[in-house]
Amino acid sequence: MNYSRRKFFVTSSTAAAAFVLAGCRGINPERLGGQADGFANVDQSGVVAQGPIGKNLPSSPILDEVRGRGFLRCSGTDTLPGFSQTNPVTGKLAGFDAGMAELFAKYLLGKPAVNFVKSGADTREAFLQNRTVDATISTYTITENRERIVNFAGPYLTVTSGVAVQLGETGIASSADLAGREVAVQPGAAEEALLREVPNAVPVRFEESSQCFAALQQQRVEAWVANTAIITSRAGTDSRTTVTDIRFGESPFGIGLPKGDDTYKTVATEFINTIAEDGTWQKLWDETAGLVDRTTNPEPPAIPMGR
Amino acid sequence: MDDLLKALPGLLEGLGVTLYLSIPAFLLAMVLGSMMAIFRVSRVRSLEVLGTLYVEGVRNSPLLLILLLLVFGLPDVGILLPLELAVIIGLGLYSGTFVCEAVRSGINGVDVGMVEAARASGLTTRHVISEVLLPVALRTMIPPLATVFITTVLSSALAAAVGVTELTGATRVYNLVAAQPFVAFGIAAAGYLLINLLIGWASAKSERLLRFNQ
Amino acid sequence: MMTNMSERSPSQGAVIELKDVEKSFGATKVLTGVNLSIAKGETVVILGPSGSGKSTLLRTTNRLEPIDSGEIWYHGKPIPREGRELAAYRAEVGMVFQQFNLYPHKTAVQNITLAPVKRGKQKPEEARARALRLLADVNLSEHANKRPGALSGGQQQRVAIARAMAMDPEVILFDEPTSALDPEMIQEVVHVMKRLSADGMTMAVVTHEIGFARESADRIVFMDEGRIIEESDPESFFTNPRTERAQEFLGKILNH
Ligand SMILES: Nc1ncnc2c1ncn2[C@@H]1O[C@H](COP(=O)(O)OP(=O)(O)OP(=O)(O)O)[C@@H](O)[C@H]1O
Ligand SMILES: [Mg+2]
Repeated sequence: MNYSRRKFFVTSSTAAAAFVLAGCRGINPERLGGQADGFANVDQSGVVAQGPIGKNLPSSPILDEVRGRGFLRCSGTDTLPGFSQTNPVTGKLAGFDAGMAELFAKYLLGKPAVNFVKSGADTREAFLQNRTVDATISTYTITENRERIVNFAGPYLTVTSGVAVQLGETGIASSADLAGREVAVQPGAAEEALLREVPNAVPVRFEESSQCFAALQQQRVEAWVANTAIITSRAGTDSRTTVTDIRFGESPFGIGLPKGDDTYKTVATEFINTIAEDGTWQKLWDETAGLVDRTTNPEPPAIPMGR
Repeated sequence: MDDLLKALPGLLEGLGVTLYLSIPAFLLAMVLGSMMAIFRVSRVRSLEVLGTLYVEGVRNSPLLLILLLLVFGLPDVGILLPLELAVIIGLGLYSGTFVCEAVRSGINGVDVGMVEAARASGLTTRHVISEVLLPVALRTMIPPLATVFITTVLSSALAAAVGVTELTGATRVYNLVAAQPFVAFGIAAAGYLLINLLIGWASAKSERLLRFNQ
Repeated sequence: MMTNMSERSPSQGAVIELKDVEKSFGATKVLTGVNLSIAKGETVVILGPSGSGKSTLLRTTNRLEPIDSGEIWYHGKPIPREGRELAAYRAEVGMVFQQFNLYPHKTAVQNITLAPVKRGKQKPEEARARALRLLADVNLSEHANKRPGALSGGQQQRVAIARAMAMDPEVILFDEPTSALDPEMIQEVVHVMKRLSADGMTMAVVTHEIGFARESADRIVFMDEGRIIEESDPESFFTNPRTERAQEFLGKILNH
């Protein structure tokens, strides 16, 4: 009784607050975490259904454990449209990374059984190190520092960063012009790419790409940097922002794996090469990130064995 | 280790931002919370309702939602607050509800006889409150208020989600480069611990200083 | 002797006058048709069994409790009901409580100076000098800068009396000022009260201290079940109580 009353208060007061604000001039609910980008309808299940199943896979500590368990524990985010975000209709994670995870599970187990563990950029290494998960597939850039504590298979995709600005902005013509300016980024790959390219840009970090976009629209920041697929999914779809021609940086995304099981890493590498060769990779791209980003056209990877 | 030395200025700056956010937020919470607490015990119906609405309305909303409303909602009605200010206001509004409850129970804990003595001596309501009720209540409120302050400091970590790089945000930045989660978040935890030990120490100290029987 | 009860004008020289005062707490009737007049310089002692309404009578007098009907007059005018006027009235009516009710965060001197200074009656230095004189009067000079927590009950109550005196009140109401005290401290407080009475202070005192009542009271008022049922001079009250309830009551307190 008491509890439900409290709950009533929660919902009613929260709703009331939102309502008051909304009533004033029509607030855009997506700013608060919703989505209304070109990725709303992403669904990779068709591609996954036709994905390959690994043959004669070897035995290794982690592979045996995953087989014994019957599903793959994989960490990622749900804030990256086109890569890994909850589809509002199906309620399932949709996108390129989400599809990679399902394909990987299917390759290992014969069925796309994935237990998704949400993790931000902070906890990716920790989750792998303490074996909370078997793999991390979340626009996880391969770097030297990280390779000291986790294994990477890949890169399975290399993206470049793009820059969105307010319509009519003339001061930002090259990446160097971002120096000293406040730039919205999501923590993780985009932030890394920005700081590698323009060390003295001032990153303003938001969890969600929708928030980065809102910050740009509301002129809190002068630019928004994200990978080209994410940038083109939103910027320029309104009357206030536009995507520039600026491209920089190469972010090689790898599948993060726990250190110590090199057989497992080899199998993951074979998985990437397999889906690249049989066309699954291209189909996945076309059904997910490629739906909106028609300019990037990334090449399927070909990873030399032994990497 | 090298990475850590390089990152240290950034982490210290983050610590500074954490203080820069949580101290003004707590002061705002103190002012707002005390006012609302007085409203709630005022026996003036409209003020009581206002105080109750504030406490129930704000305390039952997640802090993150409040911050998002201030950062992304207000601009849609034409108010663009700087991020730090938005966080300070949101955090102050939020902590204010807890201050309000601490102050209210402090006031209710004050001996009625003492307040009657003050009224009987001819003090006006304003002076009864400012000279007797609040100073006496304040002493019993110090420990719960210190807890609210500590919670405010810890809650300020949510600022990292809306673009303000305070201690947690700075730690993330460091971890992103160094990939040393345990070191990184160990340092952050130590930073928060340090601040909170200081608050605890100040609280114990002031409690001792203000004790009645000396 | 007795004024005409039906007369609706204040009695000659009365500082406080209660007329047909009625008061209930919920369904409990606590004061019924109370009429009482206290003249300038008079010491009235109010006696009665527990629950008879003595405290309530004093508390309605300075409006710590509002009354349901009847009137309370101060120098021939109805007492104010609220706000600054009420505060101003209260400043002229001192009150001493059973539990002392000193401000725990203030020293003895600060307890005494708070109201005079805040009411703008005295400047801080003036008030302080006055407080020190009052403390000397009640033999507490060396405790002037102590907080209540560091004082004994008897000392606290004497500070409370000095606090009431600091406003130069027209009348002081005492509600069982010695009931919370250890026996050895009672006399030091009674002594102060006797002196006040002898100096001509107008006082209404609820107490069980028969010694004080005999020696200092000009008049005894005996209450039972919310009514004043007997009113006489101390000599006749103690030697020859008229009502059965008063006889019972005296029997109990004199024999214990
Ligand atoms: N605030 C109150 N609410 C309800 N009832 C009350 C309140 N104050 C007093 N009473 C009741 O009113 C009656 C008279 O109380 P009062 O304190 O005036 O008696 P008293 O003569 O002072 O008794 P004592 O000698 O015990 O102090 C009692 O029955 C008491 O319970
Ligand atoms: Mg009583």
